Amino acid sequence: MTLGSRDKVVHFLNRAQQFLDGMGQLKEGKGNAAALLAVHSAISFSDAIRMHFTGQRGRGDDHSEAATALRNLCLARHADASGIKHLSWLLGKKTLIAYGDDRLDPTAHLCAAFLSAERFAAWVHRTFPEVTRKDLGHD
Amino acid sequence: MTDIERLEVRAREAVAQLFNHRLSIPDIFFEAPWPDEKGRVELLAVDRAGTGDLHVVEIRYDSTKALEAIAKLMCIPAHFRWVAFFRETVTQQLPAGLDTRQLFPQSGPGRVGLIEILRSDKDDLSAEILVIAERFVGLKYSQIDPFEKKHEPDMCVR
Repeated sequence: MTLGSRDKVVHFLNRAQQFLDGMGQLKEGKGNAAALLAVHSAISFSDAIRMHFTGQRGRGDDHSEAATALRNLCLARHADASGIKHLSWLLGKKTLIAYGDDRLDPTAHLCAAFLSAERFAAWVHRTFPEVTRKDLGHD
Repeated sequence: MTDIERLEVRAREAVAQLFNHRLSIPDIFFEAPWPDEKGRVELLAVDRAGTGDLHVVEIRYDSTKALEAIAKLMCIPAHFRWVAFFRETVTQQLPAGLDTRQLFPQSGPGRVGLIEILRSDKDDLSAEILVIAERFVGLKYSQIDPFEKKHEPDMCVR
């Protein structure tokens, strides 16, 4: 069942993809910026999924409920929820990446953020192809 | 394996790296049985973790043989079709010296893209796009799903 408007879903998908593409372009040399795009890519993918199935997205700056909402959505749809751990990790690091006092570790933080964003995006595509194909306009 | 065959096999990795940058988390297959078990394409990439557009690439060392492979590509269902060849085999200025009509199907949209393989002084290979492929029509995403379910990619994000 689809509740959210196609336009809004496509909007969130486009934003997620642009963040992911930007991350790819910036991760060599501008790792801090790329890591923040990794976080926001995951949030936007999550918003697209929730908009498609519930007609609503996460609200406000508190994104911590996004993973819970997505898990509940997967439970209700009997869908694989294995990718949500990547979203949870990224949400847990959002404040550190955006506002933290300390320098981010290239491996523990930056590379992990890039990998988590790519893994979360791959999980979203594989688990919800009916959502992520909305902007492709064929099938 | 001849030296030429070795170069063609090595070029797959260079093309795969190009697609990894150009596409979004693609599933990449080498020597892929597409569109069925009887057929083989040297490199097949499906964008968006196997749910998006399908690209096929035929790789030849020699640019002339690569252009001959376009006829084969015209019969293979794919959203985007490419040929790749080694720049060192090109004897004329491309794409200016190319009859670009051979990149297009007899009717309908689509253009075969051209990829050049470059060999460095250290014998490292890299790939660059010379002519950008344009979308062919006809292949439905639902036709790709059975292939993705049956075959494990050689490169992917998991």
